[in-house]
Amino acid sequence: MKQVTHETSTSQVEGHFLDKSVTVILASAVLIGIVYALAQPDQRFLYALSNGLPPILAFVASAIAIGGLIRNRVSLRNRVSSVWLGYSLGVLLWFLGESTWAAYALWYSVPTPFPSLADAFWLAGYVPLLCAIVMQSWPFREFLSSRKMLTISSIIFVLAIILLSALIPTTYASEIGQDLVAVVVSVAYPLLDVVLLVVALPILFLFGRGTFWRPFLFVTIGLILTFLGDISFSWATLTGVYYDGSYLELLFHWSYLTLSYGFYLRLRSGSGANMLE
Amino acid sequence: MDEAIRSLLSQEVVDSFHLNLKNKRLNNSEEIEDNLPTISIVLKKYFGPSAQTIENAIAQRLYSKYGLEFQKGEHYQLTDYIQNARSKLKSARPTSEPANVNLPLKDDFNPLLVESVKEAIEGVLGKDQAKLAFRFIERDVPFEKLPQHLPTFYLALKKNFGKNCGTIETAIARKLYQKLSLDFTETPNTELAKHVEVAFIKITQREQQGFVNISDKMERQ
Repeated sequence: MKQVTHETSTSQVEGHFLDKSVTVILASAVLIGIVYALAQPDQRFLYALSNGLPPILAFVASAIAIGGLIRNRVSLRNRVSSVWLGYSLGVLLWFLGESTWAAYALWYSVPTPFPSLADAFWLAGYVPLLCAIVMQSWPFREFLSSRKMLTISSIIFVLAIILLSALIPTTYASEIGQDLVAVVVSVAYPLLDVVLLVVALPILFLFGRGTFWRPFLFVTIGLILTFLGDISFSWATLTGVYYDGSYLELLFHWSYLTLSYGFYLRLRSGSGANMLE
Repeated sequence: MDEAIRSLLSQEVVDSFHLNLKNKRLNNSEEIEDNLPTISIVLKKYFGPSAQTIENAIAQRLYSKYGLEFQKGEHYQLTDYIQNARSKLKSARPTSEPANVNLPLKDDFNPLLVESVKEAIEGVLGKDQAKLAFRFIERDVPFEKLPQHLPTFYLALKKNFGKNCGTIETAIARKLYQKLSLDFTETPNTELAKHVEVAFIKITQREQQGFVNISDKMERQ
């Protein structure tokens, strides 16, 4: 009887903790949105916010990710551990990309060259992230090759082709069209995003439920938000409607918050995800 | 079940899944066997839609251990697979052919013994404590040489576990018998040495009765 009481109270405490941490993330997301809305008339503040906030959020995400790796020990022979290592490395590289970008804009106060070292970090980040997703879903590839999943993947693929065929000619027609490296880098972002989405979306169906997958689920949602942010950014830049502090940047900030939350769940869960039970 | 989850994901997932089972008062293999529908529910709750793949993998391993042909059934749950396996085994029994051509034989004994030792100690002590215990045991006898130095190993167990040695020995014996697909009867004051000896005799008899070794069968396939 005593044991029952203890377990009930433990799950209540954990449930309470979970609600609290979700509230913190949601409150942060709303707060960032409000700050963006209030800062719109103040161009100087908006510029600082637009360039200064991403490295802070990316730092939080990568610090929690590294904390999780240290706490749960990295082992390349362990699939789950390798998957988390991939996600953590990806976000760490994105943090380096954000920091480099911010250094150009805020420290040196020079317009960021394109392509720059920041792009190298961002693009390099996709490699471990993609590896992690593939490694995570590989044991369940049979499910992913089911008719339903193949239909979903095909729809995403067709949409991606339409999207790219709209983006690539526009990129060529823009100023950067004369620099081949710049064109390649410009196209690489949506292309890698599409690849990421094609593998990440079916994962949402497979791992969308089940307490074990919850930390992974938030990481995947974070990556999907990054995809939406990148596509919006490419469209806004090419059509000339982008400015520092544009609302579309919120997608990137929310992405880092969601990623942080996924890594946080991993950090808290220890070797498994039992805290969610 | 452990093997399937370990192969698909990792040992840490096996451990955390067992914690979930403990929360449902499913502590040992007997309780797990008696509550298969609950296991299916816990698997679904824990792994979501991917539980289906895990259940298939569990069933596949089980069928392979009993030398049964595995056929994936749409919407089949673990309970269905096991029921199917039971009826297949039952119907195969009266024939003169051996019911199970995949049962472990003499060649499989040593690796299964080492596996049983490791898993049983981990099961009793938990993963972290077990690691420490392995280190102490390996000072006396390395695991790869364990089957050839059994008396030293028994002494190492006594030296390291003292009065708790009995629990560990019973756990090892139970695990070994389970892996060898032999019936295990727990008798008080029976030492591990005796259990291992009996198991080896039974396996030898099994081989003499004409069962085909797993590796032989795989080679032929």
